[in-house]
Amino acid sequence: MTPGEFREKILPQGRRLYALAWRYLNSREEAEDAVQEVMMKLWEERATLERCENLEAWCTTVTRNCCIDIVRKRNRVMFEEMDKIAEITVREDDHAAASDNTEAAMMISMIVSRMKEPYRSALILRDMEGYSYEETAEAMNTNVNALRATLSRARRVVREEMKKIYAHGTG
Amino acid sequence: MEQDKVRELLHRYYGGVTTEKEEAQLRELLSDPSLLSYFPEERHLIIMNETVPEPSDDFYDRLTEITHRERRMRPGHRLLRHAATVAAAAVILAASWMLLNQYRAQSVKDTYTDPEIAMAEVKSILTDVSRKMNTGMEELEPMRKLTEAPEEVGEMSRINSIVEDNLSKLRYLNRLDNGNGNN
Repeated sequence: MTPGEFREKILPQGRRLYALAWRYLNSREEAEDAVQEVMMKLWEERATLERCENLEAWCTTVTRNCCIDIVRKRNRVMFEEMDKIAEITVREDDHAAASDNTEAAMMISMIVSRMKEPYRSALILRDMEGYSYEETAEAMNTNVNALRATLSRARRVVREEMKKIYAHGTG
Repeated sequence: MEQDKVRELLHRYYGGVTTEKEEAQLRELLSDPSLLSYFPEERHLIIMNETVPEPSDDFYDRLTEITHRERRMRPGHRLLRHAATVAAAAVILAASWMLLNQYRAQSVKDTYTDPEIAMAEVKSILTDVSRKMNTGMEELEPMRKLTEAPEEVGEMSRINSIVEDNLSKLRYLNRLDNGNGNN
């Protein structure tokens, strides 16, 4: 891939990849750094990008992996099982603040960011960023049926957690 | 009516069986505040895909900058690079040739042109070697005793076995005597 082709086909993905990275990292600065890192990696490998059948999917996969690595490095609290997410301790003021949409969005981000893979990626790609089932499955290197099962479980957990927050916030 | 539709879609959504179209429809229905009021616990569904904050102003410039880091080499530079490669190869070949010549120069050469003198020299060296061959053998004499010792140890063990055999016979006879005495 020539530098011109790279600028034409890959660079315009920057905004989309930034949004994806932000969902994982919940930080503008970190999301920008992640996308920059991804672009540098893709630029170095641009000779092999021509062989890639689906450039968009490939960019998504590279960004997802990059973000997962960053989250791992952050040494965030990871939960052994999805069920344990119910044990998340939410501060009193967080409950109260959830009545506001922006704060509720923050709470959702917090819940999702604490989820274990592949549940986190399934929710981010499909429900938050609106990728199609096929695109999401491809980026996660799985099939649509498995993705649906993952999503079902992840969605239920988010609902249960948000239910607790709403109950606390309104109670 | 719409409430029932939402309920049905929610059931499918949490079961992971909704189509993309159904999910869009569900979000659209829930975006109606009057309908959402019946499903307050599902409010997060319309919040989940809220837009993320815009990136900083220089974000796109930084991305574009990546593609300028490695510019294509100019023809002049390319020629210079080839010349440097050829020069390096020439230096390596020359150094190898010089090392090879040096090695050949150090290898053994004929020292005598006259075979008779060469033979006389060889004989002299061999005579000297054979004369000195037995030097120091006397000092090694005590070492030979070390090889004799195991033989003597072997002899001792043979004697020990004979003595042990005879002793056992005596013990047997002694037991017999004691038996007769008791009777």
